Amino acid sequence: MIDMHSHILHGVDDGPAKMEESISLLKQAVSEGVTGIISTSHAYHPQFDVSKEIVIKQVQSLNALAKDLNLPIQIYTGQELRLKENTASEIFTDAALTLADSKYVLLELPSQGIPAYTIQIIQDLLSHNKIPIIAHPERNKAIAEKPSRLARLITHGALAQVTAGSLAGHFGRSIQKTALQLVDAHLVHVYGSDVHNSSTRPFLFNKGLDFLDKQKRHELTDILLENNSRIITNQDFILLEPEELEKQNWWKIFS
Amino acid sequence: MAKKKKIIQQMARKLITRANPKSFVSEQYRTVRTNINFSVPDKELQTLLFTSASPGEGKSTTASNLAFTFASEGKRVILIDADMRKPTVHYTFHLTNTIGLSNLLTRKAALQDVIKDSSTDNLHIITCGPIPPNPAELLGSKTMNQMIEDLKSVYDLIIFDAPPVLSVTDSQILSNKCEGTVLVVSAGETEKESASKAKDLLLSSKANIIGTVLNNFTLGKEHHYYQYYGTSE
Repeated sequence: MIDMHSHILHGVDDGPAKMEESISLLKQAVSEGVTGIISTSHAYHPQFDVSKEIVIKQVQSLNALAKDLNLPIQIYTGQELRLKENTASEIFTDAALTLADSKYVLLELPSQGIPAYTIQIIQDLLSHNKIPIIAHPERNKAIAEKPSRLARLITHGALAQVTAGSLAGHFGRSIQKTALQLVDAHLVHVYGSDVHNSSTRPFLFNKGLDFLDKQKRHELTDILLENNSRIITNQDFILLEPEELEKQNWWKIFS
Repeated sequence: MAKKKKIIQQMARKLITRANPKSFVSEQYRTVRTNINFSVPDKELQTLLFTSASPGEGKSTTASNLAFTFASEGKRVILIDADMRKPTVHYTFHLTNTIGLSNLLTRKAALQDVIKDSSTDNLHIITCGPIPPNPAELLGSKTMNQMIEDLKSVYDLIIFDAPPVLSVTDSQILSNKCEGTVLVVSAGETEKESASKAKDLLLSSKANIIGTVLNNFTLGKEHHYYQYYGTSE
């Protein structure tokens, strides 16, 4: 299995502070059956901006270290790009990293809303043969309020990633519910752990999968994981047609 | 631990003519094919448009299935997703929609770049591409006319999947460029008034309506006569 969203580089963003923590996260990943992990440190974020060079250097040394420790895991480069007006041009000029050198890029929306220029950036990226993946839409306030806002971005050609912790219930019931709703409506296409550390933002990769299993979404889970591995091989995703989102009826509020 | 069963839906969800060619529904699509073939007996019908009055009446399903049915007859068919408001053809045929008709019409791509294989012989697809802000202008452009002319020399039949008539003007523009227009009507759902309004709008743009397809019709039990000959038990 591949994890396509993680903060495992130490001392660069809000991920692990020390090398030892990075290693313990990798060990945890191996114990949960993950064979490849894409490191996506924050970039162009108001607080954190990890440059391309640092990512490449640290990923190299982590890969070497994992080999020394006999950890059967491959670490790939990537960045979680905060959406800004100039994000698209950064990607064209190769100042930013795509996921595992594929055509997919991980975009992070501001947690409050969807900026007006989002669709413009999506189209710019697509016209340069780069496919944007929107990170954890279930944790965006505007989308959680009205999931059809995500549906609009998906129709314009974007993809989306659901976070393991959201499905596992780490961020609360309402986010868990939204996440499952997005999975059911085929509005999310890949699955990532978004791990930051082992205490407050743990790995939970299998816990999220267990939840999907318990809810009997076996086929959708398979598609999510298959799409994950297709990032590494730079193949096209399996896409299902988005379904109409069920309207929230007032008599279902308490269910 | 998550289950590792590898059942991934490979078969197109809505393409019943491919999934189950012997079914009663596929047979009906073949009937529609025959009717279209005989509707214009004296000349060859090369461009065909599928539209409906309102959304969700089965335009894309009918267009895709008929494209497949015509292709299995041996015709070289190209299916074009001209619904640049809510494109769906790429889902039906499991393609990606990164490049398509909109790139072609804005002259950012060449014809050979946007034509995609459908994993069926004789059937090619042009998906919608990135959703443009001005679909009606693009569809009415000279580039569009040029594209149709170019395709006519290569393909026997060009099928367009268009947006609904009553919502947007795109279908009217396209129907004027096509030799035949088919109106899809959903049984028990389409209002009579909106169907006749749609027909009027199409006629006002000088469309040649060759017929209608009645979709979603529920057969009663006494309709055993309609069953596929030779498979009824």
